[in-house]
Order: sequence, then C-alpha cells, then structure tokens
Amino acid sequence: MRLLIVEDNRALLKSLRKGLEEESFAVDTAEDGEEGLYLAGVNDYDVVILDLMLPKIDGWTVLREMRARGLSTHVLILTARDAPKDKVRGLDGGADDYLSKPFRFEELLARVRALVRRKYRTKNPLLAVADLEIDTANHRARRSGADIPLQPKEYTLLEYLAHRAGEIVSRASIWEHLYDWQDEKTSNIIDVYISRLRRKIDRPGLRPLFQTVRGEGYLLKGD
Amino acid sequence: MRSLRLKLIVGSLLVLAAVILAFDIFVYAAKRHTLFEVMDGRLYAQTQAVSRYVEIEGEKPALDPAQENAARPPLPVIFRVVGEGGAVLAQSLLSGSVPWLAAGSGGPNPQWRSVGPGRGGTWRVATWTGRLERDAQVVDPSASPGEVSMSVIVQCAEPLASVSKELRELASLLALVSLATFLIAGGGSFWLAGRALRPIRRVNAALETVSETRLDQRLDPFSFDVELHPLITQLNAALDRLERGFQRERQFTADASHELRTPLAAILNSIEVLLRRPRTEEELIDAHLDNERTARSMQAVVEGLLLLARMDAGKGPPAKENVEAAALVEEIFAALGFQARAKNVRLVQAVDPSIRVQAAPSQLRLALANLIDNAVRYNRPDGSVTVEARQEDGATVIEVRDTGPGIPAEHLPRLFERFYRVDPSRAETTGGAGLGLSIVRKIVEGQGGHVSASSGPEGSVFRLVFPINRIKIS
Repeated sequence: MRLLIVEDNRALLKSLRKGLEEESFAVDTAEDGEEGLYLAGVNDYDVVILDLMLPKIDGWTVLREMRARGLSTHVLILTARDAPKDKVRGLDGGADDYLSKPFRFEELLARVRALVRRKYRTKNPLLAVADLEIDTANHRARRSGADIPLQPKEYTLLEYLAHRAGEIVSRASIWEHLYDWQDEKTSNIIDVYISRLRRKIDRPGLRPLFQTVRGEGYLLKGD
Repeated sequence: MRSLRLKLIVGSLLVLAAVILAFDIFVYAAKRHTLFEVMDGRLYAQTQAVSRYVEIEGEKPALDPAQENAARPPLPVIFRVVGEGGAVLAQSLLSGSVPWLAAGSGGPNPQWRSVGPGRGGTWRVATWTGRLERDAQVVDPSASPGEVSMSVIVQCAEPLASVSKELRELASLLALVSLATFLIAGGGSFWLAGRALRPIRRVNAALETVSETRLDQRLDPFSFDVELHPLITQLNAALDRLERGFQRERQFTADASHELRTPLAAILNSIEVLLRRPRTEEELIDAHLDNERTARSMQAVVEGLLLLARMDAGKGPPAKENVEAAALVEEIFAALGFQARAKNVRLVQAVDPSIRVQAAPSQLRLALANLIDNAVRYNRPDGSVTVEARQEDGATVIEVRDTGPGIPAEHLPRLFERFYRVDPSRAETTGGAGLGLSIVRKIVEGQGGHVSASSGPEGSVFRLVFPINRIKIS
C-alpha cells in the first residue's frame, strides 16, 4: 500500500515515514502543499496524510484542488488544529478522516488501514480468498488453518492482490502500490515476489490461487 | 440602586409638585385678596354711612340715630364713633364683642386691620378719620377747615369667620385636586419613563444576540431612535475592537498550539515508532538527536511565550539607565560572532560612541540581539550586518541593516505579530520560533520607543526610535 505524507515538520515527517515503512507501506513525502498536490496528482496513492498549515499552498487548498481535479484518493488530515470547526471544515472539504496532533501512532496506523479497506470496499479486516485468510491488522496470512510466514514486501503484495481479488492486476499498478518513487528496484522484482508467494501459498496438494495472465498481470482468485 | 427610570420619575414629579404648589399658592392668595377687598370695601362704605349720622352737638360730636331716613343709608350692625382723645362717643349694641383697636391718627386713611381673636373669632376693623364742622356733617379731612372743626374716628367691624371658612374650603379643594393631579401625573411619568427607556431595553436585547461566537453581529443604527445613533455607533466600534481582539487572541492561540503541538507530535511519534520493535544503537542515537533538536525548538517557543506573557502581565520594565549603545552592540557582536563567521557575514559597528540610550540594559540587549541575530540568520552568505545609532529630532535612533533578500512589502505591516512568518517554509531551516520580532516590539514599546521595518532589494532595515527624555539628560 502506498502513502503520501504532506508535512512541513521534518522531524515528524521522518518518524512517520520510518514507522509506516516498518509497517510495509511504501511512503512518499512532501514538505509543502505545492509538492504534495503535484505528487497526489501523479501517483495513485492509497491514502494521503495531509497537514493543514503548510508552506506555499495550505492543506485546505491542496484538498480542494485534489477534489476539483477529480482525485478520489482517501485523505487523512493530520493537524495541530483540533477545533470542532476545523474538523467539520476538513471533513466537509473532502477529507475522509481527521486526526489532531499530538496523536498515537497506533491510532494513525489503524485509521490508515481503515482507509485502505474503504478504498477496496472491504469492511472486514480479515480478507479471505477461498481458504486463504489475511489478517490486515496484524499482517498475518493463514491457509487451511496454517500460518504462512511472510516477508513484509511479500505480505504487502499479497494484501494488495487480495484486496483486488478476482481482478487482473497489472505489474505497473503493483509497482505503484508497493514502492515509493525513491525505490530503485527493477520491475522484475515483482515477478520474484510473486513466485515466492506462490511457493508459500499454493503448496502442493492445495488448489492454486495465483494465476498469471500473460501480457496483462496477475490474478488472485478463489473459484 | 441607581435607576434611570426612578430618576426620571422623581425628577418629573419634583417639577410637577413645584408647579402645583405654586399654582395652589397663587389661587389661594388671589382668592384671599379678593375676599378681603370685598369685605374692606363694604366696611369702608359702612364707615361712610355712620359718618352721615355724626354731628356737632355743643362742643362735642354726637350721633343722631333719629335722623335715619331714606336719604341716608341704614346704620351698620357693628360700629363705634371715637372722638379726639379716644373717648367713645357712640357705639352699636353688638360692638361690645369686638376687640377694637385704639384708633390712632396718622397712617393711611382709611385703614383696615385684622384683630383678635376676640369673642366670635378674628375681626376685620375699618378705621376712618374724618373732620367735623359746626352745623355741618363730617367732611373729608382734606376739605378746607371751617369755623369749628374737630376729628372724629369711625370704626366698623365684621367677623372674619366667613372669609376664613371660604378660604379653608378653597384650601381643601385645592389639596384634593392637587393630590389627584399629582397621582395621575405620577402614573403618567412612570409610564412615560418606561416608554422612554424602551429603546435602551431594545439595545440590550440586540446586544444579547452578540456573543463571543457571533461577534460579527452589529446593531443597525437606523432601527433605533435618532438620539441613540451615537450610542449605537460607539457600541459597534467597541464590538469591532472586541472582535479584532478576539480574532488576534484566537489566531495567537491557534498559532501557539500549532507551534507546540507539531514538535510535540514529532517527539511522541518518534518515541512510539522507536518502541515498536528492537532497535540498533545507531537508530537510537539518530532518534535521540532528532528529538533533542525538536525539543530545543519547542524550548525556544516556550521561552519566547513566557517572556511575552511576563511582559504582558505588565509589572513594568526594569529601571532605565543611560546605556552606552556602542559598547552594547560590541557585546552582542561578540556573542553572535560564531554564527556570523559560519555564514561569513561581516558585522559592522557604526555607532557614535557618545550615543546613550535611556533604557533598561537587559531589555535593550535582548531586543538588539534579536534584531542582529535575525539580520545574520536571514542574510545571504558573505553579506554584512550594520548597526548605526544617532541622535535625530529629539530621539535616539538605532538601525540594524542587513544585506538579505529583503522582505516583500505586504509582510511588513504584520512582521511584528506573534508567530508571523514571512515564509513559513523557512521556519524549519532557520529555527526561529516566530516570536523574536514580537518580543522586540514589546520591549521597545515598553521602554517608550517604537520599532519599524523597511525593506528593499538591497536588504532590510529595522529601526528603533527612543524619544529622549530632556529633563533627565540635562
């Protein structure tokens, strides 16, 4: 899952990025509204974490511009302004969630996960594809009752495919949701992760869930 | 309790009472005058009637009632005739009950006096002095004297009881009417006062709709009486000031909470993320360094706020002294030398050594240090900071000039506001708390001076002006 954080306090930006990346999110950052608005328009983020008091273009304007351009990216406002009036203005301005500073990282994480679920229209934090279960809150996967040990990137890839279960997911869109723009991996890294996941999930004797659609991408399908 | 309504009522009733009383006194006096005039006229006529009957018999005047006939008016009921020397020559039957006055000569003629009380109350006595001539009837004293002439005094009296009764009746009538008038007018003024005060209640009701959350409400002067327009205008002006004050306060609170919450969130988040899993020593040191830097920036904000709060509380600045400007600038330059050298900014002291500033030394040092620190901080590399001081138009002027990029004109008016930043994006890199210039202004104004800023492409100039207190200088 790929996030954009727009925040002008570098210290906060740094620790947010660290914490979120450790939770297997791909994180892009912007230190002012102008850069934030540009990145939000260029990439398909799952969630944008947006500060309100920003240099150049303030958060309200970034949000309004995003919505005016038809971007439906989920936006979580993270700000020191905690007046109910500001919350109302933020949510009515097109934000999907509002959290005031100082905040608990745990809570931010849970809210981000909730926004990701909303994006893929799933209410249940437990994703299920046939007998494969993915616990998105704890980043765990089980098949037929057996835990499957996964590397963070493997988990993220699996969660992304599970969110879009039944759809053919292109390599480009996987790339976009797994890596931030600074990552300098080659695109065949995705093939590597897919084959690792396949080995771990489609064990011999189980019904294969992964399908490769030649020239288009991958598909995780239960039936 | 001071009550406008009470004052209006009491005031109007006092005026009304005075008017009613004056009217009563006038009516009473006029009536009394008329009654006495009528009675006095009648009594005078009686004396004239009596005088017709007086003749000289022998050497003495005498009354001859037998001469009563159609040619003469009838004798009155109560009269007496007194001769020269005070001897009573004749009197009517009932005259015994009258406390007659000794009839003296002199004074006006005729004259009337109220006497008593005798039997039957107070009496009105008319006294007329006439002259008698032999074989003649009493003639007026002003007539030319005849052969034999002597004075005779005729007195007539009537009881005053009827007049007193009539006056008493008039008094009670007046009292009754006055009281009724007073009561009706009292009720009327109570009602009128209430009516007159109704606009005040309306203003009050209108003001009640203006609350802290709806301070943008204003009263429309044209919905009130014209006499209230100045009041409404003043109220609206006061509301304007109040609203601006609240706005400043809200802005300040929002800014202060942002300035403190954001770094606080950064520290807390850094710690929380750090504690989520085991960390290497390298990671720990890195986080500690970040957090220390963030905490230091919070410290700057907190200390600035505390300083401003202490100055706002207004215990008054410390005692003023004659501060040697040149020495003070040298001192600050020495303290900021490291930062200036790091940026290769030249510090130029162009202060006349004779210049003294009337100010509290510690405060003036803080203000100047803030300005010079800013001038270094926002300067370009290899630039310069020049401090000048001179006497000008009865004031000491200190100027701090830098060779920085300058400040856009639209920012200049708000530059000295708390937390105001020309470019918020530079807050992080320059590390200012956004309070420095507001502290400078607070200090300088506390010392009776004022501060201003101007800017151009060649840099900015901050100008401190301290008026010279001539009495102290001499």
